[in-house]
Amino acid sequence: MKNKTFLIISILIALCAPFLYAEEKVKTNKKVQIECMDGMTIDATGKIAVFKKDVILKQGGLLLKCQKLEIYYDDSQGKKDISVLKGFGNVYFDLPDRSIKGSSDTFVYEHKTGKLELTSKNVIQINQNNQSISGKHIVLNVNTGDAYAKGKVILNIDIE
Amino acid sequence: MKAILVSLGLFLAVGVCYADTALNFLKGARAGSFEYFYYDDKGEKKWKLTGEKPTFLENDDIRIEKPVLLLYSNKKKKKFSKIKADFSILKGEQKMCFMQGNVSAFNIEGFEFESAIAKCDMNKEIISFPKEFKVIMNEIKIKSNNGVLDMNKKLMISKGHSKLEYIYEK
Repeated sequence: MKNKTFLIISILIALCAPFLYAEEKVKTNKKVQIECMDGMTIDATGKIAVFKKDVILKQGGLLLKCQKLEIYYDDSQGKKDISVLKGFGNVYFDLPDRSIKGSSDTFVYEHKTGKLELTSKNVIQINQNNQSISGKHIVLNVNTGDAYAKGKVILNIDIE
Repeated sequence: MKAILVSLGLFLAVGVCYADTALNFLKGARAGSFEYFYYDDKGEKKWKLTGEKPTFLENDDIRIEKPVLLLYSNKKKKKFSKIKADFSILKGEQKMCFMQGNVSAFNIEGFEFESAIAKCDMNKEIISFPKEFKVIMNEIKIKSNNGVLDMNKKLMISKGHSKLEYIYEK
């Protein structure tokens, strides 16, 4: 009797295994949306597109605004994918899921890793709840929320 | 006698009608495919334009119905673009190709351009999209307005509101 029960359970596990494996491999579709007001340029040879004036980039919860956006493609596997986005002029970013927002002069966003590198001649300030970090070069991972600053850094924490 | 003359007249009239129809039919049958070469100032064959079911008009304009047009640069021995259009006129003097309808596939380095209207300038080697057009590269889709595609430089410049959408798996 015990042997029969064991055999039935083993068969059920074996039957369910492909479904469990399949569930693990399920991928979801994500979307990047970019809009601008003053036209764009596509260079088919240089794998680059440039968007100009009042550029807005949205990816999930991430919002990036700038005046000029350069998009670089990667077609190493025979398929064009967005790899790096570079923004210039009046950069503003908002990550409401992690309550992070701030502004800078330029940004470099690595689409695959979620690494957002912000640089500015003046001080960049990123705010999260009642804390803020200031520096001239800040690197933020939009997927994890981790951030670090290079050079002179000021950390402000409001304690009530 | 009158009856014979009337019969003869009718016979001749019917014959002329048949002959005209037969000539038109032959003209149509000849126009199964179309090939046009564009030469530069040095006499070098630069562009080749091919289409299906062309009809040659009196003023030497060329109308191509339901065409598949292929543009080649013989100089670089490379196909620049593939165009499908519902209707097209090529004016021999101006070297302009005006396309209206479903101008559906230009293909340059994997970039496909789609529009309802386009103008192709053979001299400058540019294609203008005066209204809304789409650019598709795999999962990357761009919508824009008033663009000019330089086929030599493989560069597209547009004006006004533009939108990019990229869907990817994660």
